[in-house]
Amino acid sequence: MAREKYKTLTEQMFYILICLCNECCGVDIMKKVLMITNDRVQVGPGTLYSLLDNFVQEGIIIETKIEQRKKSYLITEVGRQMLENEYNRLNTLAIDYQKLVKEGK
Amino acid sequence: MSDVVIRLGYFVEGDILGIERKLEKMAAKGLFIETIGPIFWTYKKAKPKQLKYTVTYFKEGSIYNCKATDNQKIYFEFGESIGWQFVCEFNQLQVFCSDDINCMSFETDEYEKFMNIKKCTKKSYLKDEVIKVVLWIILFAMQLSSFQNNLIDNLASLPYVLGISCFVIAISLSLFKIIDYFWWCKKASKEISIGNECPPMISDFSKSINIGFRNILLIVCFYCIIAIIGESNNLNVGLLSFSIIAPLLIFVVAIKFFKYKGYSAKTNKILSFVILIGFTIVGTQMINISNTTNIIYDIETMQSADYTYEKDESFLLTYYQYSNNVSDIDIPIIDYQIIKPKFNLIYDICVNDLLYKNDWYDIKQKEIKGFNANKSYEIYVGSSARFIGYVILYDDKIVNIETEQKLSEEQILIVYDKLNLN
Repeated sequence: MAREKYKTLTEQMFYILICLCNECCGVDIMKKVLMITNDRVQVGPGTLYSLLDNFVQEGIIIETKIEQRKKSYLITEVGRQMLENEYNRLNTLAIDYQKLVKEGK
Repeated sequence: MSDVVIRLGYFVEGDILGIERKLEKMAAKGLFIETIGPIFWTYKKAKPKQLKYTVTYFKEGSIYNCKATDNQKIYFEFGESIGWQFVCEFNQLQVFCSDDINCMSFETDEYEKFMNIKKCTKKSYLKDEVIKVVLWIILFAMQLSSFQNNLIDNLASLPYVLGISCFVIAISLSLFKIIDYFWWCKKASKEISIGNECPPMISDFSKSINIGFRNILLIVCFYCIIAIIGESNNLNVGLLSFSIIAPLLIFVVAIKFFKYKGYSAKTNKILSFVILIGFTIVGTQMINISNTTNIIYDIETMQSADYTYEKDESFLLTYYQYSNNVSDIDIPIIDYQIIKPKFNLIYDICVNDLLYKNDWYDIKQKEIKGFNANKSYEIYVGSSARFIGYVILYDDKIVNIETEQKLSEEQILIVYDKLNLN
């Protein structure tokens, strides 16, 4: 079970997990995140290494294969649930904003 | 002409920003870092270039690793993929550089950065400082207990006083580093929780304190060595230097040798430490040998079979000792010590040591006219109240006279005159 610290996800965590919905190796994650966010979100190599290491330890992702030191990862059910929770949380925020700020109710 | 330049790498552990700025400055001068060591850093000469350096912590990094671990290679590849080239490492510190000064930061999440530094430093920096402080305290306590046994003599010995001072400075420095580390952890958690950047582990203030302590330690060690040289002969100095420096040099060479032989980090660590401890024990034996060799005294010192006169001086006090070994029944045996403390506190400590250290002393304060002193005491010992001498206090000096019989008024006047007590 994920620790309390992953109750909410940072943007970097969120996009790493999105990338890992399909099997992907570490180096490709950095490029993929830049691509899907139009360079808005950057994941530095140090941060990526720490996050992948922590995610594996917490069972959020698993290592699928190692080819010439290239490790590939895939999201687990725990990770998918975390993504889903984050999506719902962000949706709630968006709905509240729409209701309270935009529509002024 | 060699294109390799070796420079002193005088850096404060944990001062990542300082190291990065220094390497960038050197690259701009045409010196590119090749290896980082605890004392010397090697640079390669080339055409000056503007490079961006980043220094990060990697938990598997170690000076005992014979080659980069698999995970470390993955870490390097992550860096390479966005333009960070691995340059060198020292323990857990990993140095990368990039031609692109706008290259993406190595760490883009402040919380993860903080947690990574904390995880790595707990394993190395903090552990090392705690071990050091415990070791220094044990050695200091051992030195202090032998120091107290012969307090006045040791206070007058410059190498001894400086040696003890080195321990005090080293303990203070390590304690400061430990406190500063926890203060940084607290500050960093607070800053990150409110969305700010992770502050540098070593602030400018701690850097100044670190450098200050380190410089004082170096100066005191330097003077300590000078003082030892001043009091010893060449053989002593040679043995002493060898006994201190050799184990450390052998330790460093052993690490490199086992790395070269491809031993695992764990085996390397165990073997190197066994060698260090072994050679330290051998070194300690050498210090004992060196202590038994001849000592060259200054011109004021005189030794013969019948009389001994010595003068010792430190920045705390000057100590003159005279002892008479003539076994002639007609000559009264008088040994004396004149102590000239340079501070009031040292004066009080010496008086306390002479009068009150020994529980079996029976002290009688008595005005003894011939001595013209501020205070004078007669000292007796044992149940039979055997007289053993006088302690006489003047404004600037303390005189301890050891004699088995009380001096007559005439003898007191002679002693007063001969010892220049006026």
